[in-house]
Amino acid sequence: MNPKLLKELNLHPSDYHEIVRRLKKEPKLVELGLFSAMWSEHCSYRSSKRYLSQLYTKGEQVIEGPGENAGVIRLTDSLYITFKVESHNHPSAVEPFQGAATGVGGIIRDIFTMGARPIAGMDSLHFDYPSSPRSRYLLNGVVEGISFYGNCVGVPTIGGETHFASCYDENPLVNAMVVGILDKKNLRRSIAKTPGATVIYLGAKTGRDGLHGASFASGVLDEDRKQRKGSVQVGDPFLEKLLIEATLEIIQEDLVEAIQDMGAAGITSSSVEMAGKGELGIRIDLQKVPRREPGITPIEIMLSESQERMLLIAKQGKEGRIQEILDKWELDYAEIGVITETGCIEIFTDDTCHCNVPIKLLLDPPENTTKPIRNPRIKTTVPNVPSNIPVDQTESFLCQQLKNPNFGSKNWIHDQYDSTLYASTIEKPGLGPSCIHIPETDHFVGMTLLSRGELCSIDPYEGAKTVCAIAARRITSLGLTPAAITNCLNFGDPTQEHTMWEFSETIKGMNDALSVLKSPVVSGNVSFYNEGEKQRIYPTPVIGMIGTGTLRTKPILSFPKSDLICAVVGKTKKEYLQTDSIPRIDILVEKKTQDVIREFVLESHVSSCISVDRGGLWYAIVKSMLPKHIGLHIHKIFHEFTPASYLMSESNSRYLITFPAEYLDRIQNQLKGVAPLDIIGKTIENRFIIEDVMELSISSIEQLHQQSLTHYLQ
Amino acid sequence: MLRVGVVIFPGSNCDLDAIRAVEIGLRAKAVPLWHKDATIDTDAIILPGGFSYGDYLRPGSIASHSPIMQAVKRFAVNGGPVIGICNGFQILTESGLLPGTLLRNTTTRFISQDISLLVTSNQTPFTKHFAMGQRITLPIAHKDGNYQADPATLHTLQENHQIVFQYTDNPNGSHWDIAGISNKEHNVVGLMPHPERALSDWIRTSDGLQVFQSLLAHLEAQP
Repeated sequence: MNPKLLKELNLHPSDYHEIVRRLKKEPKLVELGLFSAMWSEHCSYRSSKRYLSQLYTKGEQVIEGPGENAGVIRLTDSLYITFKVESHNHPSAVEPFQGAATGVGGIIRDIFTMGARPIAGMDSLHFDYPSSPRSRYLLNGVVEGISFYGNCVGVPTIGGETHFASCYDENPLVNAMVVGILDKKNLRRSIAKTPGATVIYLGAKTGRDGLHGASFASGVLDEDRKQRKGSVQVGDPFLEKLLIEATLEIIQEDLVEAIQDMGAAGITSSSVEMAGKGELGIRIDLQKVPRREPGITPIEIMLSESQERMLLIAKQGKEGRIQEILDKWELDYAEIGVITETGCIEIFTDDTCHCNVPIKLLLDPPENTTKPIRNPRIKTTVPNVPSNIPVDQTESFLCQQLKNPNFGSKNWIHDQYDSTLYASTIEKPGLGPSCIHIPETDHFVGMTLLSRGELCSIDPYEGAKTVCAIAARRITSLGLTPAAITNCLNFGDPTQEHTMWEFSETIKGMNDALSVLKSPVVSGNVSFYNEGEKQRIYPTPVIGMIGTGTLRTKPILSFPKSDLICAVVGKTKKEYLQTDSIPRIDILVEKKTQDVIREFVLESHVSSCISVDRGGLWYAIVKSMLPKHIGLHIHKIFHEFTPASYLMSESNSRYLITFPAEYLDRIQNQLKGVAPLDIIGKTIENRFIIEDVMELSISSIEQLHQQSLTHYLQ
Repeated sequence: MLRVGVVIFPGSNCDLDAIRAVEIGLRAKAVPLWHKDATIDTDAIILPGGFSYGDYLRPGSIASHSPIMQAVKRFAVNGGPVIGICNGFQILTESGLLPGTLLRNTTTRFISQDISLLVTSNQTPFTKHFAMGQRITLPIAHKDGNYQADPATLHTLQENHQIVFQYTDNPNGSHWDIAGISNKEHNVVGLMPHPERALSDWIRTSDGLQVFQSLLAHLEAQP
């Protein structure tokens, strides 16, 4: 076999020999192409499968767990919520605008494919510090890409996170989550059912863009790969909008038996997976595939990742009505094949057979058996938080923190995203968790998307547990109950034992947290090879959590008015992010505290409630003060702490709450045996005061907070 | 029952919110109108926001040539109430139903914020319920909301009470802080902010409700 071709296809020679062994013949070119795509890490999860199968995925709220286009949970007797997060790291590293835009487009397709209307999106972005010109270039491009695509396609981006650390220099992370809502009768799956059923292609024409995208994302980004801009797809949100409306009409009229979007590895993965899940075969006639340009070869058609395309399997006799709907939306319609009983994928141009292989083989690559072993020589560097900040440096230290772009305002980003479409966003992004009201009901859906790569790099097990706990803590602050999660597991090279150690510890940590928090995993994505020639990223599991519930009053996260008692729920300890240790997490304490806090919010005993996580109390206080310019007068005695070290502690399972004095007894009683209540002061107008230590106006805090990111960008 | 048409172009994405606003704010029947329809049989018309035809060429440009816009023009000439929100406003200026034009924001970026506005004319069917000078909060979400017109046009707008909404803190560079205007007869209104996204106490502002309640009062007063 031609080694150049194998390299082009990113197929390892050992895989090639395995293919020949299994087929008992030399594969044809198109067959080899299909194997290269389906056996790529990106499509096959060959390194992660065995770990993912151990995930906690069950719960009575779960309608559809991992394996479908997106996970589905029950919201009410008639409404379901579907959601998923996906990465588009490698394309965004090469072409940030289109990489991010098509990442958003891809995850939106996963959602409406399930029969749901996509109603909200969030993004988790990681870059090098914005002092780096390349980081600014990537940040600008990615944010513009998300804004361009999400705003036009009509999916409000209502929150997310952006973090900066030098390990993301070569490999930025762009993870996008989308949430959809559907009537339960509209739920569709991607399982072929009936031999003889027509396979219909709809959406954009097939071009050469995105060739080998799946295998592109399954290797380390070296200089050679960075030149492969041709592997990055180009997005058209207008076309996607038409596709959403047409697909939802087709599903509402019950015209399809299975449907899947063409994501990574395009026609190949969608046809192979739908037929494979139904243990059936599929026959495709390439002549029928709509093409953007002449001269595209069979292997190019099969591996193209042109965007905004769907594959669906029609219910018998419904083809005509499907065509009418697509005509109305002026979308391409083509009957490109048929479901068969052979169990094979057969690809033809007229009478020429390009491919005839059992689908089972394509879906069953040899596993990566790299052992998970820690390499103690791999050291990680994190920005240490000092544990003892002298009293006379309180003000300068706290102000310094506000200037850190990791803690500062992300309004420059949020303001470029339409966050108010569908008229159900409770608060603008920036406070932590986001929440939407489901119109005409008293149901609410809370959502948060977050990661703590720096914690995970020091201790992936405890770090993953902590990330899950923080997600649930944020959902709880809304008065909602954690329902389920989706995850995007961003890691380095899976052929390295250390990477697989980080990965397996992460899975264990997530399981140990989620099983207590009763929040199963219903969908997700793994992104390996986030490793450049010089650097590997922090192991960065990104958790997207959905919370559900009914509320009688609107959740209030920030300080609503002055003269309220302000207190911290939970024990503040001398715990900081340091190179050799991270704050401990006791998941049972976390859960018990959450259950009481949720009651406080639901019973309106608290006037505001915000969870404490990254940046400690100081950041929770800043976020609480800014929206209404209600400040805080701290008159607490700090005992073993200095004021700033108290405010910077990152101990887990804590909340910052405010309440009127008359509720004090009740709150203290309910917290007995669960968590301590530490009264720190009173809310006041316009100022932040630590008695006898410092005093700042809120507008000066706001100014520092606002400029922490923008001063790099102007 | 009153019937309010909501025009749907390929790429409209605020149509569902507009339909809900008709149902909640007006308690009227929302009638979806397709861009290829040539006739209109409703009591008022909403041109919703979004990216009609993907904003290709210029925002609102291709939509202004669609069959439904010929019908909207006839409806407007006969005095029927028409409101264009965001992309709908862009379509109204592109089709000549309203003067002036909407350019790219001076920041060159998309702006999504809750902003403060003054109601500066309550002579339109959509602003009757407001007090003159009333301060309200509505969300904006646009990249091309920078309203520009020549000085003579601006003065005419002023004299005829056609300036309907003004920003208190101009976000996009619009001349005279203009956020919304009407035609000379006051039956056609275009604005960049989104009243249909501000209807419920559950969310950040419900100030948009009065726009639809004004229209309801106007329609109910018709013979």
